[in-house]
Amino acid sequence: MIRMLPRRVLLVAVAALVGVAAALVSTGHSAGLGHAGAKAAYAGVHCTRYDPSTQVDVYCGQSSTTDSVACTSSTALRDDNTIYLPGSSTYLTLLYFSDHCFGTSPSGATGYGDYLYDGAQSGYTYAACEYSAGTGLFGNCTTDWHN
Amino acid sequence: MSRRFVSGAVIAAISALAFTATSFAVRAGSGPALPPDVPAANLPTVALTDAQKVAISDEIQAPVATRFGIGADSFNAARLVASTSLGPLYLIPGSSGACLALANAVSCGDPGATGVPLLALAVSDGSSGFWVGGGIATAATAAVTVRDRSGHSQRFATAGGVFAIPASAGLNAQDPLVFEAESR
Repeated sequence: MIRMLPRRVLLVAVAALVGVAAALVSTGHSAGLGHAGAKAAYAGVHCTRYDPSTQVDVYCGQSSTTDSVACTSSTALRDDNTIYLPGSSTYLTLLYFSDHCFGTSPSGATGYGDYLYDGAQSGYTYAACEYSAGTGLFGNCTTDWHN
Repeated sequence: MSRRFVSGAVIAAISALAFTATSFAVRAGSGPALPPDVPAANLPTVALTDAQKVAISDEIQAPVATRFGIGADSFNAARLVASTSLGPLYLIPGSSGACLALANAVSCGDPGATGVPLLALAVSDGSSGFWVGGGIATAATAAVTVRDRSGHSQRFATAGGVFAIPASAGLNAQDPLVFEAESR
């Protein structure tokens, strides 16, 4: 079919495609400021998805119907703690505990929205998440950590 | 002029036109903008340092930034929502939602969408043991009542579509908070 098109039409189409592609590259995604989950270069950097179920270094971003309260099974040096429940608009809380899950004197963040992130914590801690339970919620709680 | 030269010039012109048109279309359709019924849109923009932009950007994971339309322009449209004991609470608007940033925490959502009256963020203040933060609400929201699990609650009237949660409100950082919007 390409052979049936006049050469001039092909040249115009190619030129237009070059312009569109260049524009998309220059505007679209040069706009980011380096998201993409760049993490500090520690000796061993890991992710743990601890709700739903626990998966270490695999399926960290996988979502499914989640519980309303969850905590990691052990302590670690935490780089972050995150809840993402797309489209939920609900109460979200992230806590770090140094003694035991849902122990005393936590530090953390709470809010109302779809996404909540809390940054690095000093010392070895458990990471926990809590949110208002609702039917049909899909999302996950994850923590990045290192050793 | 040779035919080849004319063809080259035409191709270059068409590429340039396509570049300009596409750039305009992409930018016009994806710039940060809060819904008209979110009064925080009227707050003046504040300048963030490059270090602040990078720090907040790193806290918004890539799928979340995409979902709420957070891009480089968003950080140039930041607003100061409240000054807290942990530092400034910033609003970062996106093209389809917004984020709040305080200390090293971020919350994101879509305030103004159907059934979404507010966006809030509070961080535990280690020196007091209480939550501090705030949020933004729709024009239809007169106040936000915040409750902790121990039954303690505080009502924060919105002013200009924003509210602040000071440590003096006494909301225990041991407990998750529940936010309830009160309509006008």
